[in-house]
This record gives sequence, C-alpha cells and structure tokens, in this order.
Amino acid sequence: MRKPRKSKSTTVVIGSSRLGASIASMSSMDGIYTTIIDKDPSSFKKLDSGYSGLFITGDAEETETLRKAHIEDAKECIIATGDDDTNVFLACLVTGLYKVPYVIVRLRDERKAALLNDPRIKVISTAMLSLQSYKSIRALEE
Amino acid sequence: MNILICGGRLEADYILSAFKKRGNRIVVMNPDEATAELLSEHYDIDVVKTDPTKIYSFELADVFDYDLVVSLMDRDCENFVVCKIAKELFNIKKAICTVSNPNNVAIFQRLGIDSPISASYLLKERIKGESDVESIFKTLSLENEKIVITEIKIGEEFPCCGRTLMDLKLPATGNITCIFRDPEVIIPRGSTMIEEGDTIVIASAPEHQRELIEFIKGSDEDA
Repeated sequence: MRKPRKSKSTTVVIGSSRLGASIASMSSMDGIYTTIIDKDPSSFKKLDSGYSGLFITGDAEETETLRKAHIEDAKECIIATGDDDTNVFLACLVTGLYKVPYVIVRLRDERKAALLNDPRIKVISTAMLSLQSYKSIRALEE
Repeated sequence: MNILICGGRLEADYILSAFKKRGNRIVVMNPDEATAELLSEHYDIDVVKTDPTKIYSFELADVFDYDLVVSLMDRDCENFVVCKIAKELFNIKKAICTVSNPNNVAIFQRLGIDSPISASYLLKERIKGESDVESIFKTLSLENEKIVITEIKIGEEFPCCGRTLMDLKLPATGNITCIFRDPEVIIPRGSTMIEEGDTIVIASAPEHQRELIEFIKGSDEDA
C-alpha cells in the first residue's frame, strides 16, 4: 500500500459509507487535508470524532459539488458510494475530466473493474475481499 | 443493422416501432418485468428481462459485435455504464443514450460516449436555433415608434425570391424602400427582381410589421 504523504496533499472522499467514512477519518488524522462528500448529511455521523476535514453535502454527480471540493487539486480521490454505477461513472469523471492522479474505487460487482482500465484507478472489491477472508478462515480450520 | 435497446418504457416501444420496419436485428434488455413482457407481446423480437448494467446480461443476450446500443435507463450513471460495457467489453460500435442532466452531454462525449441526448439540451439548442432565425429580421423605429424599418435577408425558400416587385403584390401597408445586393444599393422599381441573398428594407407602421414579415417569409406551411 502507498504511504500517505504528510505534505500539502489533499484527499477527496466521495460517499460517507462505512468504508468512505473510515478512510476519511484515517487520512484526516494522518494530517492530510481531507474533504468528504455525501448527499445525506446524517451519514457524516459515521466519521471518527478525530476527523478535522471538510464536509460537503451534495450529489457528486453534479459538477458544482465536485468543484466545491476542489477536485482538480486533489492528489487522491476515494470513491465509495453505495452504488456501483455511480462509482464507475465518478471514477471515469475524476480521472478523465479533472485529472486526479490516484483514484480508489469500491465496487460490489468486481466484474465492473473491467470498465476501469486506467492505471490511475485501483479497485477495492468487497465481494473479493470477503471471499478471501472466507478462504483464510476455512484454511485455518482445516 | 444489429441494434441493442436497453431500458426505457414508451421510448423503447416507440424506437422499436420505428426500427422494426427497416429489416434490423433487434435485441431488447429491460430490467422491468411488465415492460419486458409488453415489448415481447408487441414485437417479434428477442426481449431479455435483465438488468442491462450487469456484464452477465450482455453475455446472456449475446450481443457481441453489434452495431448500435441505445440506452434509455433512468439514471445517467446507469446509461454511462451500459454504454461503456457495450463499447469496451462487447465491441458494439456506436452508443446512444439519454441523459437527464444536460451538463452530462458534454461530459459523456468527453468520456467516449458517442451520442448522449438530453431533452433539455435539445430544447436549448432549438431555442438558440429559433432565435437565430429571428435575428435575420432587424428593426429600427423612427418618430417615436410610429414608423418601423424592417430589414430582411432573403432566403431561397422565401416565396418572393425570384419575383419582381410588380408580381409580388406586397400589401399596401408597407413599402420596399431599398434593396441591398452586395455591393450595390438598389432603389427598387416595379421591374426589380428580388434575389436570394438580398437584404430588403421595408418601411411600415409598427402594427403591420408582422403581417409584412410573414408575407415576405411565407407562412410556415409554404416554406
């Protein structure tokens, strides 16, 4: 895994899901300027009390919302909304239009990773991770 | 042509009725049970009841190397994913989709979707087009708006094009006072012919202006 940089790097997290909120909390507490975006402000409750970044309530599919988050200056973008299609679209949008150099996307359907053939985009597949832990649990038992 | 139509209700039905006649091979993917059933009853085509945003749906429908995908899903990002699966994984040559956010027209194009279509975007373009048509009429008011001078550029479709002023029988409420035919300025007589590309200048009272413009332009049915 890449080490987070301590300097002026900025991270934009889209989707304050369990995963999104945990990553945002971690990166903020590591001293990285962090911005989190979600449509539903109540989802920001999932953030750790140590989170000191920015909150933006809005739809990340709207250009206006991404501009408010200064996406064009972000060094890193984490995309973890609850919807795979939104995640795929946003990943293409932030790399294609806003030239974000490093993007991590969460997908439930790991086959859609085939649509993200860009070296700047890394995919976290929850199904694959669960499968791996299943396998390792079974391996321990045998 | 081999065409894949994804999602949509009435739009899918309408497109099917238009393309069915032309001897195309059409496959429909629709996530909605009732719509899928309706479409398969209406048309003698393959209808697959499945979610088009899933890669396995494309395998199921066997649409590799098709010529065209038309995506009519509800959300813009779904249409984006359908078009991307079609183009990148199944080698479908052209992708057309609807978008509800008009700003997404330009964004989708930049991200490789050939023809995103937005109703509001088309409306805006249409209004722009209409106002361009209006701009060929320039108006100048004189004497506290008791006289108006209207300038009209003659298009080839105008009924007055190629006729002399005598033939024209312009309503008595106005008068063609001047014709500009680059680089000449012509003070017209009865025998002067109006040609395509001329700019004619009409003096009239304001209340007759619209009637005169319509006379020169021809009504829409004539055009």
